[in-house]
Amino acid sequence: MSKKFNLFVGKAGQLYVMSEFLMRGWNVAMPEVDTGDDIFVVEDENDTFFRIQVKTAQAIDRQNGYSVQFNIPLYQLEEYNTAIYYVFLIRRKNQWSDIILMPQLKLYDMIHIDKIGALSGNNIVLYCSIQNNKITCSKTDFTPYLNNFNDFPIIEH
Amino acid sequence: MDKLTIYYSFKGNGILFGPTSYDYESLKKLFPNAQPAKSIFVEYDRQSDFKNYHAQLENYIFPAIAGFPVSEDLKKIKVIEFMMTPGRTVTYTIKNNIYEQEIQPICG
Repeated sequence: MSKKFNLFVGKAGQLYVMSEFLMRGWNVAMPEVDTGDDIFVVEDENDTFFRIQVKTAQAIDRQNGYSVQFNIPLYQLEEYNTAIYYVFLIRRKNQWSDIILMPQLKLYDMIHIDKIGALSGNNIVLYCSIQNNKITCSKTDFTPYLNNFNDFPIIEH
Repeated sequence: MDKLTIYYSFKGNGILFGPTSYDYESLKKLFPNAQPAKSIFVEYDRQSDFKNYHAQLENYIFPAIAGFPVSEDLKKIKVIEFMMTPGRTVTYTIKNNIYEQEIQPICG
């Protein structure tokens, strides 16, 4: 898969995630200058604000289920930050498949305390396998974070 | 609870404090009648030298993080350490309500 195609996949994932937040009644915006954050998400009525990092990956089918790999720049996980959320999005068989939402603090703790992931250059690589609706990333159960919109309840307008 | 770790990081206009995700869950179990805080942001005057004085906050922050005032119950937490990120450096430790500053606060 070419680097250029990866750019298309990444942008497609970013726009899909934006649409999901919009459908939940949250306002969204993209920063004009790319400094690392993909999306801003705002609850207009009370100024609740999150910065969202979207990571999109194409699934590879396996004998029992499928697998994906996400690369996360290390610098994004050096500092504790409660305003950042990670959204891991999986594309499979030409459709958007699973969406995993996790606060940065949780991922930060998993990486620095539980030592999950593999260091590759300046990235942390998470290898995830999905089987029978259970998601395991670097031997850690990510299933509780599947469709985890708890911090983004539907806003009725 | 042997140790409570509270992260902190400097922002442009203040300091963000909060327990690790694991310690937050432990606090909820240890003190089921309390409301532990996921994070506390202390905002300062951006032009002030607030980064030189944060070491005065720790004694007030940890009860707020735990969710209730300093009391005998809080002694169930044996050690409270404040860890700066990035770097994951412990800059302040509270042991059994004896406030002890292990390392000089890192400024900026």
